[in-house]
Amino acid sequence: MVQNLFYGGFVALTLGAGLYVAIGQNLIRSAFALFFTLCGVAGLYVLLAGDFIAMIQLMVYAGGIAVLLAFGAMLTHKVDDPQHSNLLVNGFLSFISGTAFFSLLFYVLTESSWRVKAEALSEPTTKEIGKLLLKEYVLPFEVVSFLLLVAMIGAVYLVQKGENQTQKGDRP
Amino acid sequence: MTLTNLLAISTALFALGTVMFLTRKNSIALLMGIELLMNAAALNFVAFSYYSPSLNHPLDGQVFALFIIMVAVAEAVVALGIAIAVYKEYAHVDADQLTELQG
Amino acid sequence: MIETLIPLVPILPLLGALVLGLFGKKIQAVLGEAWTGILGCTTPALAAVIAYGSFFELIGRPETQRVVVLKLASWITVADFQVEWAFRFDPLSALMLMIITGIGTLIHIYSIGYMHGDAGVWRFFAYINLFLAAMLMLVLGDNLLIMFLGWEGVGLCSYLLIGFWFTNSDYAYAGRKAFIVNRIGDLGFLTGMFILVYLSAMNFDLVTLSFGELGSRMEVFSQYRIWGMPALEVAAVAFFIGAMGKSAQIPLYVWLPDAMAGPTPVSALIHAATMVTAGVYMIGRMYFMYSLAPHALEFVAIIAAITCFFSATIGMAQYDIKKVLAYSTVSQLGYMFLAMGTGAYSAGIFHLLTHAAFKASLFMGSGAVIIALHHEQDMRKMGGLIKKMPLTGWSFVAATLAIMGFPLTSGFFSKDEILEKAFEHAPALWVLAFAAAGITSFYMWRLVFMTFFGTYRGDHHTWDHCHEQPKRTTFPVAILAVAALTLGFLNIPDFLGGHYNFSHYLSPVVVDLEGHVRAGELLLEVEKAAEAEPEGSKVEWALMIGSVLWTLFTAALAYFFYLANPAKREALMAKFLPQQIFKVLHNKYFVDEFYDWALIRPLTRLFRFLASFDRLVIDGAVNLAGYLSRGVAMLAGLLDKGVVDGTVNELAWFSQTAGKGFSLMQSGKIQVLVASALLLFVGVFALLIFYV
Repeated sequence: MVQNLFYGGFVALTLGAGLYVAIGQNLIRSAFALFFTLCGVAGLYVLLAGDFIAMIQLMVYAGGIAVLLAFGAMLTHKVDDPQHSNLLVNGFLSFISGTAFFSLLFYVLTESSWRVKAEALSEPTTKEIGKLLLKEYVLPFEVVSFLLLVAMIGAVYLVQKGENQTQKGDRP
Repeated sequence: MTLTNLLAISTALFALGTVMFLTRKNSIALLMGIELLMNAAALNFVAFSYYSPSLNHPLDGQVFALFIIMVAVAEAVVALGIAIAVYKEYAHVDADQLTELQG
Repeated sequence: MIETLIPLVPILPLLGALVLGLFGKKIQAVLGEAWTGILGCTTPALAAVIAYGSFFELIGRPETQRVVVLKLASWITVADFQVEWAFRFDPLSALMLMIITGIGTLIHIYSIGYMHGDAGVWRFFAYINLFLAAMLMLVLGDNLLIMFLGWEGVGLCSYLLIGFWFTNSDYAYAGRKAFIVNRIGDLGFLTGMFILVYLSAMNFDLVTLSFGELGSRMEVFSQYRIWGMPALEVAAVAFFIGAMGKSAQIPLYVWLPDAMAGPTPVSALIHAATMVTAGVYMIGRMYFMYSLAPHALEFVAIIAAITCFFSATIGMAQYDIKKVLAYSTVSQLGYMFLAMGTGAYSAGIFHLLTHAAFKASLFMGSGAVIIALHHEQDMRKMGGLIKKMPLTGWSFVAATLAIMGFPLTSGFFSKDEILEKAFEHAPALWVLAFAAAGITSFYMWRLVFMTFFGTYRGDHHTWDHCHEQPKRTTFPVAILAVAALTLGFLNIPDFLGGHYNFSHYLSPVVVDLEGHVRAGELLLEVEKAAEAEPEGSKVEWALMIGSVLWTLFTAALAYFFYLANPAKREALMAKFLPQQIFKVLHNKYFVDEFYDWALIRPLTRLFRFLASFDRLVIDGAVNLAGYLSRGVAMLAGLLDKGVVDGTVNELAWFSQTAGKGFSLMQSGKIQVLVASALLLFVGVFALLIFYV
């Protein structure tokens, strides 16, 4: 009962905030709504016996990416015109394709019979995931760490390059 | 709280992300749409790992969700870097006005 | 040794490619061009040493143990679909390894001389090492997916190397053409692969693509039908379409002559000796499937015979030395497929081997000539070069003897066997192939006489500077020419007192079709049958003597026309050969023009039309509707301001919006495209779900 209550709450949080992200007209507000969506998904993870993944979701996604996006939004959009920072274009076409896409997938997933085995037990997963990452998935794990390094260097380089150019351009 | 239910939520999230990706001009907003898409995919993995665990190891799905999060981080960092670099150059981040490479 | 070292064969060139690709620029700047070249040569040479060593170990083993499958790692494991990183080393792949690494190494050494003075030497060697790695992967792969990986890899390298001098837009265009035509073929290959996966999934628990397993499942598959046709026939034809693209058969051969834009070593290695034979190899590898698909084989044979004949006739009327060789390659590939199509797999593979030797030698010889004449490729400006370049010239003559099928050279044995098979199979195919043999001999001798004999027709400056190339360039040519003369003794037919050693060697992997079987278990029966029917060998003798006489006759014709009496040729040509026929041949039957007219131009026109439709009609209509309705509205406003005005404005608004909506389709905006793609996806899936 309590579980269902929480479940309903998290679903409402996820989808409600998600809806605002998708159709809101103010970019900054969308960014904050995204934060709540991500928190809602983290809550769902907890209910699905994924304690570690939920923590990661909170720390990396909600704490990192959402804040980063909010900063990005603030850094780049025109501050004097917040109402029109996030215009909708092709609204009609997108609405049609989005709805069609959703209804198709929804139809498929309600019609098909999913093989459901016994629900996994809710026990701490951190140790097991650690073992998996360092044994079976050690190669992808290393590759991902390398990817992160490359992304970091790339981002620094990109932003710095832009800076140099503007400085050059600024000089009379 | 059933598998079908969760899959429907993930589908809804995915559709929202798609609509967002289709309707926005601002490239930061496009990025947000992509984050929604990735979350939908990760939610699917975790839901399946709970209701129908892999034969190999019951936590396989969660590990994949973890990888999705890591890749999303890398992608967000680079994309934001590009957005800021573009903003410095053009003073806007409208995706459909960036046509320099069209030649 | 086989088990441990064979994986290194593709890995070594890959390492070379990585090192040269990543650090090559530095290496060339610091160590100089020569060392870059030597570095590029070491990895193929090492791979060649391993390949030859493994081969000798393999033939030391008893015949039943000559198929070695090495499982290195699992690649894709999704439920019941499993693909492994596995290499298959058996007589067929051992032979291909020896051809690729042996000729590859020689051509690498030759390239040091050929690419001398080019700033991109490191790039060249990186590409060509990568090519070797991909080609070796294609040949060694134990399943279709690894083969496909190599198949795409060689296509990529071919594209990169054809457009090696990409600053010339013609060359870059040739590269793109090769790439695109090959994609059409790849669609066939993929379709074939999907059909096999489908058949596996329908009939077995485990889906596999490995050749061994597929071979054992073919009996079951042959019962199956898709689209109302036997499934294996469809798959076999689909795979052959893949081979058409890669191995330049009608109608997908058009890229190969243009591919001569690349450096000559590339033409020798990729577009003559190895990559273009991948299709033949693939059919040899999949012979178990083709043996159960007689109609597909019939199709292969017919396409092959037509290709063989037509490209030979085109070769007669070309003046560019490399173009002649290119059409000759297409024609010789036709012979190989003809052998495959008539079920004589070992004969086809044997011709692959001999062709690799003599065609590589011919290409490298022509490359030496081109370099010596300062990049002159027009044969009308050559002549008498044998005095200046004796080693190259005589090697070229030796290789020409081999390609025409002069008795006791390699081409004699391999081509005669194919002709004989074609005759047994269907005399109509034989007529085309036989005619092509004579034409081959004619245009090859025409090439030799115009280039190396007679008097020089270019300017004196070039003639004075022309000299024999350094040893590292001429030796590979000479070595391959010797190989071209002698390789034939590997497969002496029965009726000449030999034992078909080569077919025996291949018998653990490739068994010829029944009725033509000489190898494997059925050997004894057929030998008995041959003893019982002496007429069989009489026919063979007659065919052999006939083709020798015919090729000698056309060679003499070439001598008469191009060396002894050129003036007479002009007179005869003027009298008997209407200018139009020559023009048609010289312009390659206008096939390129036909494709341009039938495909490229209509498409371009369609795109232009859509664009201008967008610009003129839609925008115009919108504006016109706006103006018209505004005009009407003004007029009407005088009569009835309240009602009519509003309607008309509404109408104008409507047409304007509709116009905008349509013009969105042409705007090239990514989001509109994504939305359309999404709608299409939804539509297709909805159809699949609700109607299938």
